[in-house]
Amino acid sequence: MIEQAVRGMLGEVLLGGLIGDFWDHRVLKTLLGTIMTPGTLSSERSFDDLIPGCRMPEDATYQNFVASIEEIPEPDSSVLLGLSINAEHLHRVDSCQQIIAGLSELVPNVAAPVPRCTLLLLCMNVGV
Amino acid sequence: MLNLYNEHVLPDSIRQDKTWARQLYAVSLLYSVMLQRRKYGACGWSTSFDLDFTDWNTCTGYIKNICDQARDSPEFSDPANMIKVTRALTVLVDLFERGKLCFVDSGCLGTLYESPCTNRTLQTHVSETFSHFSS
Repeated sequence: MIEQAVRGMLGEVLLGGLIGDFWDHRVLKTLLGTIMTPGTLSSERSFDDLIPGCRMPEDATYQNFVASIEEIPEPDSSVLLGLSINAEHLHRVDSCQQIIAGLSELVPNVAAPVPRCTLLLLCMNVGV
Repeated sequence: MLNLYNEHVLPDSIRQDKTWARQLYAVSLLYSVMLQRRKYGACGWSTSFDLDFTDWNTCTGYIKNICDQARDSPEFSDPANMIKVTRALTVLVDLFERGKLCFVDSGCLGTLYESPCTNRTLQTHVSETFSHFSS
């Protein structure tokens, strides 16, 4: 029953209190429901719903926990965070745009003037 | 998540309490997922919000307390009592820390809501706490 109290406090107060948006709050509750369940906490069930291959170590030692974290594949992948693969693509496009915009600001005289649509196309190609 | 374990988690604390160790792992995973989702902007979270190490620290501190109390006190480990006590304690601490409470008219509690987020937190606290005590 500790899980129930912890889920309530985290979802409504400690972490839920930080989130103002209704839909974000629902996402948090879903994440809590996926991660903090009696099954996952007792290593009966893995966190496969969220992170494939991630499992609570059976023997709860520091080394086992660290080893379990190191086994998580590609920790920055959007799919592991419960997001669509398109989120990763959009993030890359956004990053490319920021880099190119930054380059243009750094060397305005050197960089050739490029139309915005060409720039966006370039970013999308790099992002893919 | 690995940084949290390398820099802020003591191996001794995990050895002493297995229940807390498992809860710690789960809450660290949750915190990492929340933090990483922010990288994806509006795809991750619709609105931006502050989330940093202190939030993780507060969560782990709370879980540590609840695990200690459940272990030390048999009455506390009763689910109904545990939820009542933790909610009652938290509502008091939280309300006093926020410093936004004032007494209105004949002892009624009034709050100066500054955001929908605060509003919802306080309302949840109060309704949950008092509904449990009245039942």
